[in-house]
Amino acid sequence: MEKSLLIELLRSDLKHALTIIKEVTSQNYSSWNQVAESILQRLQPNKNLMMPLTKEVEDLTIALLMRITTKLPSIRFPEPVPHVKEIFKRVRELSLSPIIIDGINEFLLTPDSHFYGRKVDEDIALLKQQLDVFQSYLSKCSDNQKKDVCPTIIHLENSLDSLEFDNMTSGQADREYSLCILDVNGNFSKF
Amino acid sequence: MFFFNTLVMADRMAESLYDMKQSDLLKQNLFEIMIPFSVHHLKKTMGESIFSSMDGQAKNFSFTIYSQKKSDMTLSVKCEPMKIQEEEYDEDLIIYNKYLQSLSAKAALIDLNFERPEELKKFELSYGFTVNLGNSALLSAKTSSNIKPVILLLVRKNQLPQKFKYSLMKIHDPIIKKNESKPNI
Repeated sequence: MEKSLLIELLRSDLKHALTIIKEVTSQNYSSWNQVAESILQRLQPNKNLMMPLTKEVEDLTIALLMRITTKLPSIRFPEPVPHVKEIFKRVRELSLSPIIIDGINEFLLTPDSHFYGRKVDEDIALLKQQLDVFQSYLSKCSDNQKKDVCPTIIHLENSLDSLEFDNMTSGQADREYSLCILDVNGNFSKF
Repeated sequence: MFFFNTLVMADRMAESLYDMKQSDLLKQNLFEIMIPFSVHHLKKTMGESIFSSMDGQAKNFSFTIYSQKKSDMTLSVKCEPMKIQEEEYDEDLIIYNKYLQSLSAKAALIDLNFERPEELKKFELSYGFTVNLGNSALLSAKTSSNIKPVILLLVRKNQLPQKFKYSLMKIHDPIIKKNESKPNI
């Protein structure tokens, strides 16, 4: 296929993908998977081919970054986004604006925190809630020092689950997490 | 039976995530069970004293540890669409899937305030301590000897590996080299 024609086809596809990204809601979210795969196929490793499409790729990347990392529920993607890390890794290789590359790098540093966790200021509120749960259990222990009334890991996990995953529907939450206490040097038990 | 006091230090899920017994894990240092790539990356992005520099703000980060306990093939299946870098990246994935595990963490500095000071030394937490969100600056101003700053670390598995040149570990990492030299059964 002639190069200029191929570029125009890619341009059209990327614009269409951008429209989908902007319009995805919880109601039509299932369409995202197909779109993501299609974007991956169209992001060519050939930089010369992608050079004329820099604007389209940048627009698409910004829209995707915004919908994943925003804290606004009305804009935020309703579910964790399959393939998004692969898409970002590919576009990172292209000559995009440095500010976009910085955004991608920041996202890729802890991508799962955007899917399964929350941002720092939200984390503090969450931790306060979690520690309140600890506190309430511990106060019970102080009042009644019989070991058999101390909360077990099951109780603790149930409490944390309800706090940690209350914004997620069942099936999305990865409940396989661990909670440990370390000293400030990273040792697990030397206090 | 497990009791709360022990579990807070390292819960049962830690055995699965860190791929070692709880008793062994409690002798370890988090940064020593990470692969060198991860330690370097964390120091580069979070500074030399990763936890010491925390100021009451929770931090999110990912890291990779040595682990051969891959009970399912979820990771490799999910990584299949990533055949971007062809053979080179495949080699990285092979090493990763055989010997390593990527984890995501959320860490926060907290103060453990022991109601009975003698328990701070023993850390035998059969009962009686309270937990407060910490702040290292505030902590230094406190005179009570029964307060200890610690890191509350919540960890879960990453679905995809961090992007490192794992194939280099086959040549340069003694642990991977040793495992690679073992005959296949």
